[in-house]
Amino acid sequence: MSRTTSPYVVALLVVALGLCVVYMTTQISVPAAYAKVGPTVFPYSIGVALLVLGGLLLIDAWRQRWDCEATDPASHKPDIVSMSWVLAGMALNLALIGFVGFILSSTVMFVFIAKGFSARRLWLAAAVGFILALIAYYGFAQVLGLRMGSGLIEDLL
Amino acid sequence: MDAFASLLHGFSIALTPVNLLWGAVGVTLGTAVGVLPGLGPALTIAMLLPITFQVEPTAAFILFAGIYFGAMFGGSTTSILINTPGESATIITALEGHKMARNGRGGPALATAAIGSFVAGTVGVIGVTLLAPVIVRFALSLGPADYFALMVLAFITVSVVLGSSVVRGLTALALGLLIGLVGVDLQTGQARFAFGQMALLDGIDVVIVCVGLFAVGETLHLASRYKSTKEEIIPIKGSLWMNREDWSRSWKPWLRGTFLGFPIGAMPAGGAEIPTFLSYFVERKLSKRPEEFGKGAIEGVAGPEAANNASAAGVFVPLLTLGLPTSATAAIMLSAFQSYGINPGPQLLTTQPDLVWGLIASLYIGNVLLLVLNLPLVGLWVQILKIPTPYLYAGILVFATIGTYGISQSVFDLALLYGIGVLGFFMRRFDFPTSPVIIGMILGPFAEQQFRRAMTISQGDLTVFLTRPISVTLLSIALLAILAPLIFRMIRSSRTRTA
Repeated sequence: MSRTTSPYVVALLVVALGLCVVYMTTQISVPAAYAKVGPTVFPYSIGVALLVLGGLLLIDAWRQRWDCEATDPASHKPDIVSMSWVLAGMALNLALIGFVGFILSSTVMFVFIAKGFSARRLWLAAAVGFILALIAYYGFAQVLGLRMGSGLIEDLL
Repeated sequence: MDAFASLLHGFSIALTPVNLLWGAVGVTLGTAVGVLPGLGPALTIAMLLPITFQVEPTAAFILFAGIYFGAMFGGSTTSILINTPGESATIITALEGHKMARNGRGGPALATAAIGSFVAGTVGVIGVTLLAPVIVRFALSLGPADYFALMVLAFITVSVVLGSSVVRGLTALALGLLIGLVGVDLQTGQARFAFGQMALLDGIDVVIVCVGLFAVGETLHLASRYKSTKEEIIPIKGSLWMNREDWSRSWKPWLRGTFLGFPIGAMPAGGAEIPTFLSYFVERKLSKRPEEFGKGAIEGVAGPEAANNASAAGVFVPLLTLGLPTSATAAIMLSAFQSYGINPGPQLLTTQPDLVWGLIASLYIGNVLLLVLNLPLVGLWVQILKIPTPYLYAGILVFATIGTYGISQSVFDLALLYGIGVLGFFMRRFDFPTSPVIIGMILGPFAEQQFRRAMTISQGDLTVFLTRPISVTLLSIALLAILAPLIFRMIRSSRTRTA
């Protein structure tokens, strides 16, 4: 996406969100007793506000009055490779956490994110991540008395 | 002098060894997260919200207050030594403080920031003590319509005044209000925006939104750009202590900053940015050496730092007396109150005196602890900055994950967390402020409740907001806050056209 078109996309997304909110509000049924100040007044107002704000954002984009990192010609393009590693780490965590438990899946995520920030020794990252996840799990489970679910390592403790 | 008797009682609560320990833990933790760029007090307190299930309210709030002030202190350390202001309120500190550090005067810069914060904190606590009962008396006369107007004013100012664009600030606010609507409507039992998901019926947890926007969003944002930015830590050279000249140049800015910061922070439309900017300009005007500004003038660190801390203390006035948070951190504290089943408002001072006065006293104790712990240990804090970036951010995400998954063991919540993180990334890329999202989501349901209550009383007559003098005044100020930047812009563009 180029520097000039991306603000339009953001503005249009805000407009689309406003439309969704208004449409979804029409689906909320209002009990007759609350007809005047029922549960839909606020949602409608927010939906309309988003529509108006999206329109104003479109104007900002058109007049090129939108100063930010994404439109700044001096700023670098986002580093897609680094971000992909980080996002992949999160996606893997989501996929794995239910099967292998928090400790192992977070260790995997740790390694991916460290790789995204160009860590060189990945075995070290794995070791650090594992120990950190262990401490975090133990701290949360013990100190706060929260049950953290089970997993391959969790069941050994 | 009733208030001071209460404050003394507060000290007797906060000074028990256990509570003192909580305060010390909070201050230490706060300083650590404040020093780390990209982490802030709102995020830290959000991640520690589960502690409210285990610990009694007074101890938890003493911990939170310690984190709040500690993070501010740590933030100024980072601003001075590596010129990456974590929060907008410390941008000014970086301006002069970093120059001082480059000139080998990092020690005095840190010292004037620390002592100035202490002075401001002291005056601020006295201010809260004196002001809170007065505001409570006023607040008891407010009706639902007035409360609604007050919240509208707070919404508008936090989104409009602080950011660079009115439209983007309000968009962020609307997003927050929308997130706050998700779930079952408490008055009618209707599900709103829940997409038929059981997990959404209770609403979206503030921890998920806060950690997603601040921790996950920040990590993604940093990943997108960190190869192209290089940070350099300036080592502290020379004496850590201020010399006679530093003292004589600092004490007036401390006091002026304090008296600018506290009232603005205490207003229901507060925030720390405006007083720090104001203080900087005042000091530059009044300085005998205006030529030093921009090159490392100690007044430019002393004043804004004091203003920052004083306004941070001031924020507790609307929070404790009106239940009105004016910063993201205060909003998170409000949700901590909710988690204890306590509703902050004018009744809080009479129903929970131990909690309120213990909290106010601990604000002061936090300031003393910061002065005692941090200045001598500043070398230690700087070591935190040497944690390798890959491990630091990977570690932050592990903690973000446990903060969410640990509470609910729900993969859905975790997906929501990462999704909101991606949203946070784009908000940073396109310069949308993130605090209005948090404030909107937490305060929004209260505002809706007051709105509907007012409308029920007036039997659906909207003019109730315009006939009550307090409410119409507050709404007019809010409208003015939105329109003023637009009018200024129109005047400016018409001038350039004629010129």
